[in-house]
Amino acid sequence: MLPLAAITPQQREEAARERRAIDASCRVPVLYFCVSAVFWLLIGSALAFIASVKLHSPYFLTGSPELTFGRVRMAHLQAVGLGWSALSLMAASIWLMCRLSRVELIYPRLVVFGGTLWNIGMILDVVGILRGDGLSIEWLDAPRYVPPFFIAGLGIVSAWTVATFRRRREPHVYVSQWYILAAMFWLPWLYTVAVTMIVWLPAVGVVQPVVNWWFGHNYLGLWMTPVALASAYYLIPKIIGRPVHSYYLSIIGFWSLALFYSWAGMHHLIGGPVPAWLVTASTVGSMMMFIPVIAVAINHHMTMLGSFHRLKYSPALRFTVFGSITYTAVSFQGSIEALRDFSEVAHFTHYTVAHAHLGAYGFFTMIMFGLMYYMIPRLTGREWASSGLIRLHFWCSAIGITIYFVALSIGGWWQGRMLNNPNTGFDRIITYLLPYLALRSVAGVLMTVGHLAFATLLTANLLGWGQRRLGGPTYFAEPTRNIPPIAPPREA
Amino acid sequence: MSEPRKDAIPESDVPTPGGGDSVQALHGPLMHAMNDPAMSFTGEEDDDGPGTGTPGHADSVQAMHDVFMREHAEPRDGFEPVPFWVAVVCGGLLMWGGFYIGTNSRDFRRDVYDRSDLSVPEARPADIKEPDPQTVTDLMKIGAQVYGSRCVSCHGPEGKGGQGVPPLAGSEWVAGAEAGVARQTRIVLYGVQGEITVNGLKFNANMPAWGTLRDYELASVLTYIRNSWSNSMDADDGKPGVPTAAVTAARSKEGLKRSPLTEAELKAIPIDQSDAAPPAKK
Amino acid sequence: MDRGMVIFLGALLTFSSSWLGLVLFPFWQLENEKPFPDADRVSDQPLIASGSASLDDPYPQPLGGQALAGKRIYQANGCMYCHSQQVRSEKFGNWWENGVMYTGADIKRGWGLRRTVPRDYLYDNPTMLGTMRTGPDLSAVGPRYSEQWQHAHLFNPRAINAWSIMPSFAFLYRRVKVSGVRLEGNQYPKLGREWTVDPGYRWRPTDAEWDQVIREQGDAIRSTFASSPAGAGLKNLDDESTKKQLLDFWLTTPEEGFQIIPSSDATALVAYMLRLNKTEVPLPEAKE
Repeated sequence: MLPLAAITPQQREEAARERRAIDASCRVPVLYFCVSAVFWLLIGSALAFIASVKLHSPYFLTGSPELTFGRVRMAHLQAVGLGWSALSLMAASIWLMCRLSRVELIYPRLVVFGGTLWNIGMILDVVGILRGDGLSIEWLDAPRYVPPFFIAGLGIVSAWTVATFRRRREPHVYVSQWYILAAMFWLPWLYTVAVTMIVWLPAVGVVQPVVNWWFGHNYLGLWMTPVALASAYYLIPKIIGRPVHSYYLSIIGFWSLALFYSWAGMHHLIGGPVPAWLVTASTVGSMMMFIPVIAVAINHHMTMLGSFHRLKYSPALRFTVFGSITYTAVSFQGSIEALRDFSEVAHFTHYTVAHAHLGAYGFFTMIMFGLMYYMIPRLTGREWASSGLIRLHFWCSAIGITIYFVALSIGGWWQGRMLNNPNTGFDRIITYLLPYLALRSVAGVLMTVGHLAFATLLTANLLGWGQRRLGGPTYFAEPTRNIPPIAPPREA
Repeated sequence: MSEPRKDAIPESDVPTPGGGDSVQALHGPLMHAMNDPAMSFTGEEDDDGPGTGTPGHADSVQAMHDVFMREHAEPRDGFEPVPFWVAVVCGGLLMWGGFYIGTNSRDFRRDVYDRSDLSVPEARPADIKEPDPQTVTDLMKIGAQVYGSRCVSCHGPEGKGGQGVPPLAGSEWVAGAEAGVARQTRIVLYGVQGEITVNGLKFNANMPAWGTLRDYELASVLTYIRNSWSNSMDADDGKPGVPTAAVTAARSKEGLKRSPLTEAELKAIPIDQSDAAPPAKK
Repeated sequence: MDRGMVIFLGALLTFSSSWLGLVLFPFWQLENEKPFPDADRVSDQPLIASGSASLDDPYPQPLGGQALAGKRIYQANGCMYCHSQQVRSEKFGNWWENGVMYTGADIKRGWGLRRTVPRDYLYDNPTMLGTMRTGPDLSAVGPRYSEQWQHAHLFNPRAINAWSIMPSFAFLYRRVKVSGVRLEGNQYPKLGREWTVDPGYRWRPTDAEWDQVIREQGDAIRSTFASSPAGAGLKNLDDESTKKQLLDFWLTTPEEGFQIIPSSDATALVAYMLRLNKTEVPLPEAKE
């Protein structure tokens, strides 16, 4: 055990100065990515609201081709899936990689250029889809002139993340870095293969949906999930000031995720015109996901143990822990859902939609919010302007996703049961679903209010309306003084 | 990948495994080692609030520096062992996975699309009884359900038809000059294609074949159509005009014929043709 | 795991496994699917359900012309997000009735004659198997509905099913002034007056509005009503019970002087849907 005396005050001061220099070096690109991401989140929320209302009130905004359900549905997925998710997790990757490698970001303008390419791609993507160029390939709806922008932008950001890693001064490679490195390596491969085999040089017939689901599922599993986990692995121990519970569990969690998550996806083709063994392979891949999920759950829970009172104060921690707990829940659900008997009912229904949103929102988005609450004040030198707005954001998002998930899971399950019985006419299924679809709109409004609160906070912070970072961070509540001395509540 | 640069600043506090077995015994000293002095220095707590900085002090480098000093050191790994039950669960899952792939992959063939552990019997066993409606009332009850799930989207809830789809209510083919049981059974079994004249109006909508439904369902839906809205073809409750046997007989006659009928082909079937042998046979 | 190379190689190997297993292997397995040749076909069964293909042609046939253009419209408007294009087997799924378990809802619903297999999608690009069944499956929608029905349904699905939540595609149609004679034909939906107001919105006049309409053009409406099959035999057209019938009639007869004309996009989309018939030829591998 290292004696306390091994670290001198000078060394600690040196470390703090180093952190400050690192934050200063990635301030511009990371803030640029965050702002872009939040912009696409707002666009995506608006599109989601339109699409959701259209499902229960089909006369809403009818009459213009741009806002017909199918196009809005595609544009929504692109805006939140490729806009918000990709840009926010790129911001997270750059910042976490710089901090954990203990190097400053060099040539930050190059990363900004990469992000700009991605943003141009996104604008062409969403506008193109609304104008009628969408391809109707789930997750790859982008018009065929868009992928080059994405590949170039992604290439730059990936390469720069890896370059930052190679310049590292810290000899120990922390678990967050594994996840980020792997994700930055996987996605360019995944995306290029998928676009080539489906859009540019289309493979024959049903190979396309096979590649499509391989991409769609791995976009979540090998791109969004690793970076969100990296963020949780960083923030939880960082904020509460304790080491991560077990290095061994980290290793098991990482490698089993890499091996098994990449095999999931084909269970979405259950009953479809594909060889049975494909579905079987993915079912097994999904079930094996219990291993990494259990490992990560134990690791995060045991790290948090004894520090749960911190959730009362720290916004970053509260969002992150909410996301972590949801990760465990949604992954368990996903594994069970892949089983054939279950999937035969849940497939082709809103149940799957509820599950997808629990993963992409309840897990991924909440963790990204948490990271942004932690990261942005360090980059701008300003605290958040209002703890009330943060509270509003958290509760709107948390309650919103809960209503969303519960409503669509119940509605979707019975929808599946009814679809399986040919004596139930479509009129009865649709009529049955209407209240659940309306609840989804309510949930969507709640989440959008949360996003608006966050956007307001971010704008205020960038415009310098917040308090300078002199005293403590913006907490939900003022911490009480009788907190265990070993972990003082100083972190936002 | 390159090795880390050698000019790395302070050899940091990488913890090593060992020490006590309890979480706390491991964490206690570690956390002290990780935390910046600002964190454990209790006397400094007064800084933790707004408005404590002196005016002008806010812009100074020192002020920013303090803020960064406030932060914990970068996270480190702990080295708790993996619980035994996790190993058991992993082992169990791997065994299940191997078994599942072995039994459900159908030799990785490209032309087998279904699961092999199918618990559904291939043929419906003899002891499973289908409903066997005998009276018009019973047939109507099942027929309403079938109509509601299959026919209503084109012919409408009132049997009025529309958009190229002929009406059923008051139709001559249902309850009029062209109404024949043999024709009606074939319409639902094989569908209709091409132009057809109903009540003096021409319609041109292809009607799909419903041969996938069971015989009693087709008989029921026909009885329902024949006796709903303004139609009433079966006055005697005990003697339905289209018993299940009539559909069974019609189906067995044409065998594998599947193409939909045209109006001419329908008219070629005599109105009073009866496919069913007297009910006594069934 | 402090070496970057370990992480890199591990990530490479794990991902390669799935790339080989889930992408390349199925690609090799399925890339040499061939159209169904004549010789293998059992000759004594007339198998073609509708006249879209002749018996001598191999199955499937690539789309062309209008149908191909229609597929682009189908893609651009994201129809795939509510309508799947795959029929699942007779053994798929389960439901219970009177304590007995049944399977194969897709076929029972009349969505196709058999399950679909890879060969049915040989020329599909992209292959829109679908992800959701908010609406019914469309693999074999071709023979199910007529051209006129498709146009009317696209224009406003609620004209046909009041409970439908499908969006109106009225923006694919134009309301034009009739000069000379009305255009007749299957492609011109016989849409009533209600569709000509605010495309896509169902419109019914209030009692007051309807009274005004009767005041202004009552005689003309009554005379056409009396000469139509629905109005034949009704004598007093002024009493309350026939007033409702008269309104229904007026609403469902085309507006005087105007007609709804499909755009080329609508024509193409309907052509595509009429062409969709993935289960028309029984394939050997589709047997259960």
